[in-house]
This record gives sequence, structure tokens and C-alpha cells, in this order.
Amino acid sequence: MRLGFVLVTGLFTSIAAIGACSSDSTSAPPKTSPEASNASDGGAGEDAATLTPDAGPRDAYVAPIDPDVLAPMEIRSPAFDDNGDIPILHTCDGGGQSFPLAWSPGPAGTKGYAVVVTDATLGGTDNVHWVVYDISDYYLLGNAPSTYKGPGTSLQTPSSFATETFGFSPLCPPVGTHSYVVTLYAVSERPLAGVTSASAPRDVIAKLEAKKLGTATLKGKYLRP
Amino acid sequence: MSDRHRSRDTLDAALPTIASSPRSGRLQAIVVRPDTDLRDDLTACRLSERGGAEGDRWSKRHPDPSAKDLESQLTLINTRALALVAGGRDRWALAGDQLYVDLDLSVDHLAPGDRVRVGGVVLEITPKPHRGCSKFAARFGADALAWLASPEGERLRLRGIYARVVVPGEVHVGDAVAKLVGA
Repeated sequence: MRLGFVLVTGLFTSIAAIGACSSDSTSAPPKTSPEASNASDGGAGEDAATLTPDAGPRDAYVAPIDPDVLAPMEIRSPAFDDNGDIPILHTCDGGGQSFPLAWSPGPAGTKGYAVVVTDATLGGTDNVHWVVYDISDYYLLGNAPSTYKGPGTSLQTPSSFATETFGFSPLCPPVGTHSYVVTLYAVSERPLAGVTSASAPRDVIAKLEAKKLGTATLKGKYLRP
Repeated sequence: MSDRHRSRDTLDAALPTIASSPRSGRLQAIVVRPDTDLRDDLTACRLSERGGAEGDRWSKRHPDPSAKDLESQLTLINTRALALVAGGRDRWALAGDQLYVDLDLSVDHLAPGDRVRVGGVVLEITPKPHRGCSKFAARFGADALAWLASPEGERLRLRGIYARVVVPGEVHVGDAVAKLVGA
């Protein structure tokens, strides 16, 4: 049976040093995966179990999260700390890879998860770098493909910046530092109804808002060299 | 793919045309940005050493510019490249540059420190690299952003070039543009 939770290495050496991301979950999280039927869905539980801390760059390793040391609905990335600097790997100045992410379970009734990445400095509604939804796991590993079908069971929309292709749009700010927000949604519906491969990012976000049981955020920043 | 966004194949096919841009050319458009996402398409504009292009938000953001600030005072962009990417003269201003020139902006022609005369005004090329961003991709397509970031794109400076004003004055659409030899 696939592991239900994922750890993030190097981030939980001291429970006291961990600040919870903002969250507004409505009740204590269950300590089981969202749906029993998810156990047969994709996911990389076995892959995570074979990775070791020496496997490569920090981004490459995601170890299990012990839910007892995490706040409810907390999201983390092995690539950057909350309010920290986002590595060049995830930008147009580097490889342009999507962030590895891991989180603790949502509240009771959670059927699935979604992740949305926005450029908070840009503001407005056309500032979406990534929408990935219908996630059944507690993590996103590796580099997301540029297809409608995302990692595991998930689906993706185009971004605000690359409307011809699906998936993560590398961070690519104009001059200066831009702040980015990774929002995790725990939703009551999976698959998310009323959206298709033709849905725009903001349409899917509206659906997520309508079906959310809780959210959590992770923030980072990038200064264009 | 949006019918307004050019494919990579189309963009690459135009590289020889862009590479043959003249070394003495013309100022074909002037655009200032009163604020974020706002554009004024002008026929003439005053350029000053401290304020840059009059009416552009740069001077608001840098009321007392440092030497570093001056490196990003204004930009020039090659109109052959922009016309291809933008797909229409009405979309040029979306690029957000100030001076739109039919001129060879390549690294082989213009180096940081070189001076360019635009009518009666003299600009100095600065070392700050001018690169595309997410907004450029949103307006002109991800292929266009990747194209101008390619090795040939960077050699030709398809995204444009930064400059600062060293001899102020007024520039007009149609002004001759050329590198000052021996500057």
C-alpha cells in the first residue's frame, strides 16, 4: 500500500524552528489518504522511498512528512523556505522546472488537492504561473510535464504567460524582485466538475474556490540577476 | 496556438532578415509608459540625462537616479524583430520599449559604452542586459520569449538594448540613427 504521507528533507530538523504557513482548514486533518480508491492512482510513493539524501540536488529529494510535526494543511518545498529565495532552476534564467512540493492532509471530507502559483508582485488576474488540480497525493515531485495530464492523477491548465501549452510557466519577472505565492487547495470534489482541457486558469481557480475545504500558502521570491 | 503568436519555425526563418538590419537606420516609433500597462505612441519626445524619456514612468520610479539606475534609463528595440513577433504595427507598443529603430543592435555592432546618435540626441549603450519576461510571453507567445533568449537571439539582441541619455534633446519619428564612430 502506498505511503500516505511525504516528508521534506532538511526542513524539520527542529520542530520549534518551523513556522506554520497560513492556513484556514476548518477541522483537524485525517491521518489517512483522501480516498481509499486513491491507493491505486498514480503517485510516486515507491519512488520517494528509493530516493536518499545523497541522490542529488535538494530539489530531487522528497522524504516522508510525519503529520505529527506539521500543522494542518501545511505546504513546504525542499527547494525554498517560506518567504525564501526561489532557486534559479525554476525560472527562465535556469531550467524552468516546476517546484517540488509536499503537504500535510486537508480537513475531513477532502477528496483531492490543487496547487496554484501566482506572481503576487504582478497582481491582477493574468499572473498565474501554474494550476495543477485533481491531485490525489500529498506531493508534487520532479518537473511537471507540459501537457494537460500532469503528475500522477492530476490535470493542468495553461498559464497566464504561455497560453499554448499546459503546465508550469517558469518564473520570469522583469527587473527587480517578484514575490510568488503557492496556494494549496483541499477540495471536496475530485475530479473537479465543470472544467475541461479548454478551461482557462482563472476558471479552474474559481471552481477550486467554490469547492475548497481549506487552503495553505507558501511564499517565495526571485530577483532577476 | 494563438494566430497572433508566431511559431518558432516562423521566427527562425526571419533571422537572416533581422541580421541584415542596417548600421545606419531610422527611428520608426517612440513609445512612453505613463504607468504600468499604459502606453503613449508619440511622434516626438524629449530625452534628458536625468529624466530619460519625458512622460515615461522610469523617471517617476527614479527621481534621483544613481549610476546603476541610469543603466536602465530607456531601451531600443529592432523593428524587424518586433514586427515579426508583434504581428502588427498596432501591437508594437506592447513590447514596452521607448525607441523603435531599424538598426543593427547586435553584439557585433554595438558594445556597452558605444554611443548612438538619434537625430540631435546622443545615447550611450549600457551593460545591462535586456531580456524578455513573463509579460512578454503573455503578449507575444512563449515561442517568442524562447526565440529571443536563444544564442542567436541574444547575439542579435532581439529583445532590445538598454541605453542612457548623454546629450539631451528632442527625437522625432523618422530621425536618422547611427553609431558614433570613434565614440
